[in-house]
Amino acid sequence: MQIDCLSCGKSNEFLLPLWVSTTFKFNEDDTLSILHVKPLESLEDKLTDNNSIREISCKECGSNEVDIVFNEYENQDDDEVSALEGL
Amino acid sequence: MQLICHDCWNYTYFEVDVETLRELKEDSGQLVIQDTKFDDFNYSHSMLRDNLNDIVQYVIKQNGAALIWDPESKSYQNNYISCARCGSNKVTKPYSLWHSNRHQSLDKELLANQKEFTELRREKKYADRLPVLWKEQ
Ligand SMILES: [Zn+2]
Ligand SMILES: [Zn+2]
Repeated sequence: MQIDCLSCGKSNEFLLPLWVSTTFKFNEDDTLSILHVKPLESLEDKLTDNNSIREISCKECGSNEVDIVFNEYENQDDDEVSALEGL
Repeated sequence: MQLICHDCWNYTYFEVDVETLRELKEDSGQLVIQDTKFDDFNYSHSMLRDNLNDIVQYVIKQNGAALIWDPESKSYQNNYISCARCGSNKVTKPYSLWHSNRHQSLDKELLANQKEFTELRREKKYADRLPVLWKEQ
């Protein structure tokens, strides 16, 4: 998988907003403590959904013009990929 | 006490949905998902805390505006915060806080506190003076 920023072209770090369910408590002085954080969205789903992809922004320049290319051989090692490509 | 659940009277543990930020990073063809940091500052954690704080303060300040009428249960439910003990959405500010002092008119309240206010003013007038220990000749 490859992500490119179409604006600055130099970043390999990107930001994605994600909703989480947070369990918290009021302390005696009314400050808050966080007890538990649970993701409400799956990152895999977000990355394959066109609307969610628009939420991704470049960490370097903040642009939302981002291009994602999924690599079919993602989870295989180089030898296997070359072997498959040779076929 | 800031908020209370009307079903189990819990006033300590609550749940709320909050938006935070994750970082996607490409590392030798693999996608790495991690907290986002600027120098040593963990922005993901900071954003989570800030957003949690904001929404809790909003609900406490707005109260009425954070509630929606549920025709099925014939009760008001909190649009943002639920009880972490029983899962109920009937979470509001305690009634006592909501209506504190509302039963008496402002005139009566001012009158009742008149003496205290006079003392306060007197204190303010002499606040920057040292106690006089002896009379100057
Ligand atoms: Zn960029
Ligand atoms: Zn409850």
